[in-house]
Parts: sequence; structure tokens; C-alpha cells
Amino acid sequence: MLTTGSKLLIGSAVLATIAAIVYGIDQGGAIGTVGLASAAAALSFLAGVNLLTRDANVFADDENVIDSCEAADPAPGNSIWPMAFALGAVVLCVGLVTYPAVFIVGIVLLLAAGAEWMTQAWAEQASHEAAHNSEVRSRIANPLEFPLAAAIGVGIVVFAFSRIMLWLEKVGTVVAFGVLAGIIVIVAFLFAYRGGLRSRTAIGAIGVAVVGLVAGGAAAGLDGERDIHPHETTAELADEGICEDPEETEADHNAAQSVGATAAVAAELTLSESGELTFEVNGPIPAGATALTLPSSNLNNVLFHNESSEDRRLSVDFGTKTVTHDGEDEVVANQICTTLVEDGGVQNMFVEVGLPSSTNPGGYFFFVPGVDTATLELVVP
Amino acid sequence: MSNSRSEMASLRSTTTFSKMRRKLPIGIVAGLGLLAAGCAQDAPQDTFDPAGENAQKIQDLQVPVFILAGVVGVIVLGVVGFVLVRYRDRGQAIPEQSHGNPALEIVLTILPALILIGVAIPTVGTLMALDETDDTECIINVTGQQWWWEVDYPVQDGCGSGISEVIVTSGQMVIPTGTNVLVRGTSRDVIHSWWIPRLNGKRDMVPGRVHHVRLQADEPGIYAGQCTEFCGLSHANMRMEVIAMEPDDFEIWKQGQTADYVAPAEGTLAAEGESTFIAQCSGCHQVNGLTDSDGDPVIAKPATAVYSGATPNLSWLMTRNTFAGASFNLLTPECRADVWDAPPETVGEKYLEGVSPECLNSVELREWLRDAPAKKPMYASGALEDTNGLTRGMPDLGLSEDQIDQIVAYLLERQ
Amino acid sequence: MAIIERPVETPQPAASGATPISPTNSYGFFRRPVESTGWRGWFFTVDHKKIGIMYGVVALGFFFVGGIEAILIRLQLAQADGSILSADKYNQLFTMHATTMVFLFVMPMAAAFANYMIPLQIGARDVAFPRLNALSLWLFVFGGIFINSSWILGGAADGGWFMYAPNSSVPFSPSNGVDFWVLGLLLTGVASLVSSINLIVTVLNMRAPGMTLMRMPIFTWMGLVTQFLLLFAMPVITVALFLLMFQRNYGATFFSVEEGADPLLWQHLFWIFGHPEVYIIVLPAFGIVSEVLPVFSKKPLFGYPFVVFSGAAIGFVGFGVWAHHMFAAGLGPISVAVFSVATMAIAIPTGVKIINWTLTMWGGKLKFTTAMLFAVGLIVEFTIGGLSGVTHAVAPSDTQQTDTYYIVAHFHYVIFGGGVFGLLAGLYYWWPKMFGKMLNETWGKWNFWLMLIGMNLTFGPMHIIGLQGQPRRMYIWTDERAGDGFFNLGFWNYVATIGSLVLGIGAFLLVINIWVSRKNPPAPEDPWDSRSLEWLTTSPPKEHNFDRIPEVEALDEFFHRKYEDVGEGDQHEYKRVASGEELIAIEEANADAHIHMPSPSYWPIVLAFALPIMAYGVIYSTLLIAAGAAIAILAMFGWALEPSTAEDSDFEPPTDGGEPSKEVAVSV
Repeated sequence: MLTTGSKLLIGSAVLATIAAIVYGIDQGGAIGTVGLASAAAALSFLAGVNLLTRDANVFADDENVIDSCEAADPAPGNSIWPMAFALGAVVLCVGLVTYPAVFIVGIVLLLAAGAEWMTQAWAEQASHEAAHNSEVRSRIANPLEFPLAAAIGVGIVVFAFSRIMLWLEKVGTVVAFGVLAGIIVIVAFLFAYRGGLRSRTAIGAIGVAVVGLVAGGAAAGLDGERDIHPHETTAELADEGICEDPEETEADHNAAQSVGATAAVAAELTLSESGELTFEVNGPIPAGATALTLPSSNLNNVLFHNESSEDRRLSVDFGTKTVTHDGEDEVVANQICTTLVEDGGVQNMFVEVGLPSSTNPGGYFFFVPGVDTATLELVVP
Repeated sequence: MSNSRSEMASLRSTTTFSKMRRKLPIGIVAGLGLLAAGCAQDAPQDTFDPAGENAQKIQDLQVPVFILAGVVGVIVLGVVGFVLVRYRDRGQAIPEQSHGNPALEIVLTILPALILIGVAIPTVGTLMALDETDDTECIINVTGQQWWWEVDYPVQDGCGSGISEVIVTSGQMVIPTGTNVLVRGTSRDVIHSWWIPRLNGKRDMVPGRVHHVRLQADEPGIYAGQCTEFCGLSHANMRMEVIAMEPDDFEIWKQGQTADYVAPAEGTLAAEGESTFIAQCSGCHQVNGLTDSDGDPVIAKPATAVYSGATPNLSWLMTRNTFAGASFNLLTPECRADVWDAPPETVGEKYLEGVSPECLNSVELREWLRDAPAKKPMYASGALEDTNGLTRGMPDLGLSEDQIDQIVAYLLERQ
Repeated sequence: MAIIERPVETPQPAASGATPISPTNSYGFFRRPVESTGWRGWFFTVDHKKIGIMYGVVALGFFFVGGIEAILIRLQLAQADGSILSADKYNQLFTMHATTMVFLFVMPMAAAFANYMIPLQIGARDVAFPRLNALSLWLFVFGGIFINSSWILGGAADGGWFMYAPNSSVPFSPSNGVDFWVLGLLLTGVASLVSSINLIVTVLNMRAPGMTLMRMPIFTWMGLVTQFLLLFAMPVITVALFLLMFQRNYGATFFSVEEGADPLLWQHLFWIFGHPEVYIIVLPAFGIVSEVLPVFSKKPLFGYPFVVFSGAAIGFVGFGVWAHHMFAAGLGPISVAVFSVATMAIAIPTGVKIINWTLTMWGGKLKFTTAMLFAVGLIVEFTIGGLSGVTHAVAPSDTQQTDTYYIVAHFHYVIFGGGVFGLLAGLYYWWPKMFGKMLNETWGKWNFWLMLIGMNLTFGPMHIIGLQGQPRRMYIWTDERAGDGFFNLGFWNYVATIGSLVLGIGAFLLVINIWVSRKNPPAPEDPWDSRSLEWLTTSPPKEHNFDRIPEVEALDEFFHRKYEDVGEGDQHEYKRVASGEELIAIEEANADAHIHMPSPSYWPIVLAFALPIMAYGVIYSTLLIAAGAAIAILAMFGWALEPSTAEDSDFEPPTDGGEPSKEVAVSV
């Protein structure tokens, strides 16, 4: 007898055939006719197969067959994994022609969906009881699913939040953070004190919030970060001639890249109240020495103590060097320096010199910009 | 050691207790005697052979401590030996199940404590004495680097009649006798350690830090030392010597180190060697006063080729008698014995003679010039990604035999 | 807590045709392992005894690996300017010799005894966290394999076992060897730390009724102190290793002097771990010897409370002496003086132990079995090593001695003569209990004497050559620095090499002894007439250890059950009232009706397997880190979600259709 499926297919095939003929005669367009004819052919083929296999419809009232026939086992349940797998494949292909990031998302999706699909299929073979099978699947897959899903979920939320924070202006981030925290507190109060709030409402609200956050994050991420100005450091000071400048520059604010103290240093230089720069080493200074001697190419730590009443920096002059700016050579002072050290403060300067001081006319010397009397010769043999 | 061997002798034997008692002290005495005889004579780095007041202070502390430890050891091992023999299982009844004797325990705890307090007090005293720097008469900077020592003498009033011009040398530190020298040291790369056993204990040379250690030699002589903090591949090949000489000899030495550069005579092999040296070696090695054909001073820039940034200064190479981190001899074995084994009266004079062409150990020097990394393990390959292509140690320059001849001739004149 | 004693049978397919639900069919490969036999019975076991045996077997394997490394070192140094090894190979060998011996032999061997004996000695059935115990074992095994895989993957670590910065940074150690070292030690470090928590909880919580802390066997006490040392010392080395790992692999600058770092930071971190580490090595050996000496002197340990408190004092003060490894490092005289005095102070509790052991033997009835020989050997050798240690405590003298062979002599006397001899004493002492057979006494005596002679021949001369100026960690020594005369440094180097070969042969005799003894007749259950509770079990003990949890009324409980004091008043006279075998039979007859045991699991070994994958990933590819992390997360959550006892559904259903038994079958 004809099953429902067969009837559907036969009817569709007949309809497609008629449509193809009518369209072909009436419109005469090749594409449309071919399309409809193909559809008719395909549907006919399917109908034929269906009829041949009798739509795999075992007669519902045959008791014996149900017990002994494998096909009588419950069919596999619903599953989104085949679709997810397909989605992964498509995203992967799209990624091949667009961005590598998309390709990677595709791969991850493919692997995850594939693993889940395999696990589900494997679990369904465990026994003939659906309850037992789902327990088997849970026991095997949950230890990985739960933490990874949680990690991915938290990761997405955190990443979205970070993109928003990087996109807003600096003041805006503080405001946004405060507003967000305020909203969370208010909602928490509502949950706590307004009883009778249905869980579905709560989940809905949280879901909306998360979607909003992720969408915002995506948008902000695509738009790009705000301009974050890199804080100038003492390395740049040297190139811009600021080592000779006694005034405060950007590098001197919140100077977090300086070491304040370290042990067993090569020398400790002190700027006295009277503007004199003296040095001390661990143990005695060579009798009669007026210059500080440091080995060449050595990693020398020199501590600078500022005992004067102004903020001062310590600089070292090594002569001149040639730098290239936009293809042009420029001769600039070869100096390094510390940031401004406050009255009574200490800062470490790292002095590594490759060439002997005899190579520079005038030698090398320490100096404090703004205090002309504070100079100290540096000898590098 | 010997003590336990005599114990083992008594354990193995099955003779009676009284025979054991007689054999034990003989065994102990024999053991100690063997120990005393079983030492090297004139070990150059002997820690029990002080030659200066700092090492002597350590010796004055350590000899009593060692004797004390030896006595305690003999007593303890003697008691153990006695117990093992006396209380052997000979079929006696189950012994009294004594659980202890608190009074005895407390006494035997307090006794070692008192002994150790007795050791601790002079220990702290010696520690503080060795850290004195107020009486320093000469300061010398030492910089360790893989795998050689740079020694430089800063400008100062001390060190004899004073130093007016910085002296830079390597591997061998020359000091006047009877002078309190303060060695101030650091390192350019990894941690090394400066140790001249006959003059003082060791001190680590740590990059970024400066440590000091006192040296003082009573008599002229050559005092050997080695780097004693593991510093990589050629840690075993990083040696140094301190040469102490009479103050007069030391003045002569200083003059030699600050003399003007003397270019080789024209047309000689050494003159060719000078140009080869400028071409092949002067990029890294400094010779003070060397000028090129245009008359400009040739300044070595080792920081551009060597990772740690410096190389030995070769201005006065032949006034020293070892090279490459004091690992190889510049002198032939006979000449070396002549200098190193010279008595204190003549050692300074012999050292100041430097390396003459007859005494040059050209085998060693030529092997080094031919292929340095094959002679002394170093990472001298230029293909080092992790060091930006800079070498650690001297690379194989691919010199021809002629070039080597020239350079050897040139270097021979560096004195 | 159920375990099934009877073997698992494959159920017949049911007549109805529907597939019966059984764990093999449902879970297949992933089913919970419940066997206690076969290869699954070893890989997935949580039984502390099996874990202890595996620790011991692997540790012995690494002993011979480290020993071969040592013999190669000695062959290179037998003569001046040796050419058997290149400088690079030599540096790798001495680094790996120390690392292997300390981390892969002595510590795990001590852990083997601790794992096997501590639950038995306190009358417990297993440790507090059996699966964690398995994790520790497998992390150690995989960590050891990981470190040694460096030999074939570009060269082993070559910076010394102390791995000082900045020599350990990439420019100075370009090969991956140091990375393997760092990551391998992180793995074994986690193993040790986890194990220490496990054993501390076990000892504090699971002692038999009546066993107060001062009635615990002394080996358990020393083991407890060791675990506390591990608990506080391992995190420090872990931090140091993380700093170094990030320095080498992720561009951190913790040890970069150019960026302002001080290389001494590494030294402090390492030695704050490193000094307690040597007490971690030696305290278990002390504990073993404190068990062995009383048994073979037929007297209790002299001054048990003093030995306990001195052990605790050593542990405590051991954290305050670390900078004695840095006396020449430029710390300044005040710091050096403080640590010098502290180091002298720690000699006192150590001396107390030597006194107590000697007084234990005093007045006793000494029987010189192999275990006793090793224990006495420990006393002799450790005394020598300890005295040379006191000479190092004198800081000015130490500035002459440090980094020379004198130090090598000292620590080999205390670690080898102390730690290893103690462990071997334990091996010979407890072998009959663990394996049900005695080890051959004649082979044992050859083992002992050859090792003793070899040890003294190898390390004795090192005192001389060190004091006469030969530094350590050098691939060659030269005739020019070796002095004159017949007995110069060359001679003693040669003697030391011969000694090392003798020592190697002596050590190998242990293996021969084990092999030869495998066909021995079964050993009695109490062969040595011992004193502590672990002997109140069959040989080997049943899976559940004690048929009935013992009630403890005194220190040396087992001894007091066998011997009654029939003296009057102050007079003590001990008469034997029962033999060990009789007491065990009594326990069997009064077995507990319900005995519950933890079930095996594969999550520990899976987790242990995932971590080396992450480690390889740090060196080679971040993708491996992700893969390893995924497996590790899977293992951790699977472990957490799995009950510690297998459920009924994890067992194959019995053929007769009844309920699977949850209880240990009681043997009648």
C-alpha cells in the first residue's frame, strides 16, 4: 500500500512535471524549464526509492517484529550537532576566503560539534534504555562540557566587556563601570526583596543583558580602541635631548620604570644641598681619585641620591651620536638620564658603556641639568 | 675514611673484645697518619697553606675547628665502635627496656651547644676582621666574563707610588708584597667567583653588583686561582694568577704597562703582523696606541661582536705568561718552570722578563689562533639567534698559516 | 566504600534478546576500573601499598640512571685533561646526576616508604586521599620521564642542579635542556606537594584509637616532619621555577640584570627551598634507622621524645639557615654571621639524634642483619659528613671550602651515607613484610660492605682534593694545579674513580639480591621480632591492611602485645607471651564485619598524563598547551564528579541476578 511519504513524493513529482511542461510551453525560458524538470526527475527518483523500500514502514501492529528487530529500537533523538557541524564547515570555508580569525572559529566549531555528535551517537549505542544512555553520555561528556562551556561563556563576557572599556574614552570607562555596577546592585536588590519574581523573567533579563554586552563588545571591538598615548620613558628622553632639561617632562610623571634601590651597587652619587656631586663606593675610594671608574661593557648600577631641595635628574654625557630621522642623519647628544628625583629620593641608573672614555674628546661625565657645579668625571678604561 | 676503615676491621673480626680494644687506637692513629701523609705537596691552590694575612686569619680559625671536629669524630666513632663490639648478641637475655635518661640527654645537648658557642665567637670576629677595608692601600677592579678575567688598576694614589694612568690587563694580577689590596669585582654576564686560595677565601662576582675581597701577600710569588662559580661551558678553563713582587719590581712593572706604543720596524714579519692584526683582530682586541695606515687610532669595539661586550687587552700580552683566561701557557714548559718555581728572591725579576721569543710556547699560541673554539669550548659560532648573532668567546677566524706567523711575530713585540 | 573480592565474570546474553545493561557494554573503554589484579590493577590502583611499590621500583631505576651518570663523571675525572666527555656533555651529566639523584631517586624512595608504611604504622586502611596519592605517583613517573626525554630532544639541562641565574637565561643556555629541567621539576614538585598534604591529613586524622601523637612510631613522626617541610618548601621552588619559565619562554625579565634584576633573587629562592630539601632527604632515613636500631638491639629507642623534638627542631630551624649556601655570594658580614651561627645551631639537634641512636644500642643485644649494618653505617658516615658540615658553618673557612670538592665530599657523606644507607636499611628491613620473602643475607652483606668501602673510597679522598684546591663542576683538572708528590690531587682523583666503580658494583648487588631472592620460601610474618604496628599484618598485608583496626595502648604497641613485663616494682623482666603470628591469627578471628575500601580510578593517571603534554607545549607549541589543558580540565572535573567509591552500576552484574557484594570477603 502507499504510505503517506510515498503519496507526498508521487504527488510532488507529478506536480513538478506538469509545472515544467506548462512553464516550458508558456514561458519558454531554458533555466526555469530545466529547473522544474530536474525537480520533477529528482522527486520521481525519490518516490521510486520510497516505493521500493515501502517507506521503511513496518506494519505498526506486528508485535513480534518490535521485540526482535533492531530497527524497532528507539530512533536517535533530536540533535543540533549535525547542524552545528555543518555550520562549522561553512564558517571554515568562509574563513578561507575572508579572515583567518573566522577560519579558526570554524575549526573550533567543527571540532566541538564533531566531538559532541560522536559522543551522542556513541552513547546511544550503550543500551536500549534512553534514560541509561543519557546518563552514560552525561558521565562521559559533562566533565569536559561544563568547564569548557563555562570558560568560553565567561571568556566571551569578559572579552566583550574589555572591548567596550577600550573603546570608551577614559572618563567614559569610569562612568560606564559605575553605571554597570549600579545596575547590578539595583537588580540584585530587586531579586532579593521583590519575592515572586519568576525565574523566567530573571533569566530573560540576564539573557538580554548578556546579549547586549556581547553585541556592544563586538561593535566596540570592530570600531577599534581609543587612542592610548604611550607613556614616555627615559629611553626616549635621551633621544629628544631632554636629558639636559631640568624641567619636568611627561616621562617624569608616574615614573614607574625606574628602580628605586638595589644592593651592592657600583657607585652611589649624591647631589648635595650646595650643588656638589660626590660619589661613594662600597669600601674605600681609591686614594686621590677624582673620577669614578667603571668597567667597560659592564652592567653598572649607579644610585642617585638627591639631597638638594629641588627635583633633579642625573644625566651622563657620552659625547655625540648620529641618529637617522626620516632618512636624514642627525648628530645629537649621546646621553642617558634618570627621571626627576624628588628631594630626598633615590633612583637607580643603569650605565653600560661600550667604548672607553678616551675615545671621546672631553671624556664622559655625570651632570645634573640645572646645577652647573654638579659634574663628575666618568672614566671607562 | 680511614677511621671507618679501622672500625670495619674490628667489625669483621671475630676475636674477643680485649683484642678489639687494642686494635682500635692503633687503627685510628694509623688512619690519621695516612691522612697527613696523603696530601699533595705544593698544591698551588692549597687552602691550608696561607701566604698572606687574610688567608692566615682563616687558617688560624679553621685549624682549631678541624682539630676539634676530628677529636669529636674520633670520640663518637670510638664510642660507636665500642658499643658494636661490647653489646653483640652473645645469647644474653632481653636487655633492660630503658626509655631514656633525660638528665643525660640534656647534658649531652648542652655540651655541644657550649662547644659551638666557643666556635661561633671567633668565627664572627674573623668575619668582621676580614671585612675591614679602612686600611686599604691599593684598589684593583676585576671584571669576570665568560671565560676570562679583566683586571684594571684605576687612577689612585696608592699601589706603591700611585697610578696616574689606568692600567688594563687580564688573567694575571700583579700586586706589591705587604700591601693591603682591595679587589673590587663584578661580572659582565653570569656569576663568576674570584678565588686565590693562598691569599683569601673566594668572593662571587655577580653582574649588576660590586663585591670586594681583600688580598695581601707576604712574599713574592705566583699564586694560582680559579673561577669557582659555575659559569658555563668553559668554567674549567677560567683561571687567574696573582703575582706578588717586591715594591721596586712593582714600580718597574707599572712603567712597563703605561709605556708608549712602539710600532714594529718596517719590513719585518712583525710589521706585516701589525696590518694583519688591524685587519683581523683589532675589531675586538685593543692595543693601546695602535694606529692604522692613516695615522688614526685604532679603537676596538668588542661590544659589536661579543655578547658580553669586552675582550682581553693585548697591549702588553707578552708581559704576562698565560693567555685565554689564563688557561694556556705562553711559556714553554722549561721556561715556565723557571719562572713559576723560582724562589721568592728572584721570582719578580723573572716575571718581569716577560716572554722572550725563545721561551714562547708557539704551539699553544698557534693552536689558539688557528681555531680557538676547538682548543677551548666556547659558543663562538656567529649563528647564535639568542644573542643577536654576537659570539661568546673568540670565533674561528679562518686564518692562514702565514697570517698566524705574522700575528705571532707581532704579538711577541707586545712587551 | 565497596570492593568486590571475587573475579569479574562476563555475563551471558539474556534470553530476551535485549542487550543487558553492564558497565563493559555501556561504557566500554571508559568504564570505571574496579579490578585489583592485572595491569589495570596497577595503573589505576589507589592502594597505598601498590603505589608505594611503584614509587620504589621507579626510584630504583632512576638510582641506576643517576649512578651511570656519576660513573661517567668519575671516568672523565680519573686523569688530568680527561677526554672521555666534552665540556658540554659533562655539564649536562653533572646537572642531571644531581637532579636525578635528589628529585627522582631519594625523594621518591622516601615517598615509597612513607606511602607504604605510614598508614600501616598508624593502623589505618589507606591514606586520606587515595586518588591524590595515585596522582602523585604518576606525576612523578611522567615528570621523571619528561626530564630525561631531554637527552634525545636537543640535550639535557646544563646549568647545574642549582641552576643559578643569569646563566640559566636563554642567551647563556640556548638549548631546551633548561626548559625541560624547569618543567619537569614543576611536575614532580606538584607531586610532592600534593603527597605532603595527603600524608599530613592522614597522620593527623586517621590514627588508630589510642594512638596519641607521642605513641606514633618514630618513622611516622619523621615522615610527618618531612611532609611539613615539603609543604612549606615546595611552593618556594615552584615560584622560582615559574619565574624562570616565564623568563625563558615568555620574555619576562625577572633575572635580567639589564632590566634591573638582581641575580641573587634566584639564589635566595632556590636555597630557601634547597636547604629544607636536604632535611626532606635525610629525615625519612633518620626515621627508618630509628625503627631499625631498636629492633636489632632489642631495646626501645633511647629518648623517644628527644628524638621527636629534635626532628621537629631540625625541620623548624632548617628554614633559617639557607644562606649558608651563599657565604661567598657577597651578602655582607652581618647576614653571613647570622646564618653562620644559625647553621652551627642546627648541628645540635642532629647531634642529639646520633647520641640517642648510640645509646639505644648501648646495653642492647645487637644482631647484625643487613638492615642493622646499613643503619650502623648511617651513624658512622653521617657523623663524618656532619662534622665536615660543622666546618662549613664557620663562614670564613667556608669561603675557602665552598665550590670545591670538600663540599662534594660533605654532602655525599650525608646524603649517600645518611639518606641512601637509611633507605637501604629500610628496604632490607621491610622487604619481608612487603613481598612475603626475605632478602638473602649473604648477598646483603656483600651489598653493604662493597657499598661502604666504595663510598669511602670515592668520597673520602674528595675531602683532601677539595681542601687542596680542586674546584667542583669542572670537566677537567690539570696537572699544573695538582701539586707534587705521589699523593697529589691526581692520585686521589684516580682513587675516587676506582671507588666509584666499586660503589657501582656494590649497588648492583642489590639488584642481584632481589633477583636471587625471588624464589625464596615465604617469610614468617614477624621475622625480626619487631616493635611497631605494621608487623601486625600478613606478609604482604591484605588489601585492607588490618582485619580489625587495632586499639593502641602504648608506644611500640606490637612489642607490648608480644612481651609482658613480669618483673616486680622497679625490676623489669620481659617474658614473651605471644608470637607475632599468633597475634595476627587473633586479629583474623576477630575481623571487622564490614570493611569499606576506596575504589580504583583512572582520572589520576589521565590528569598526570595531561600535565606533561602542557609542559611539552610550553617548549614547542602553544596548541599543545591548549590540548593538554583540555585533557587536564576533563580529568579534574571527571575526578570531582566521580564518587570515591564505585557505585553498584560500575560492577558487572553477577550471573545469578543477585546484588553485587559491597564488602570485602572475610577470610575464615
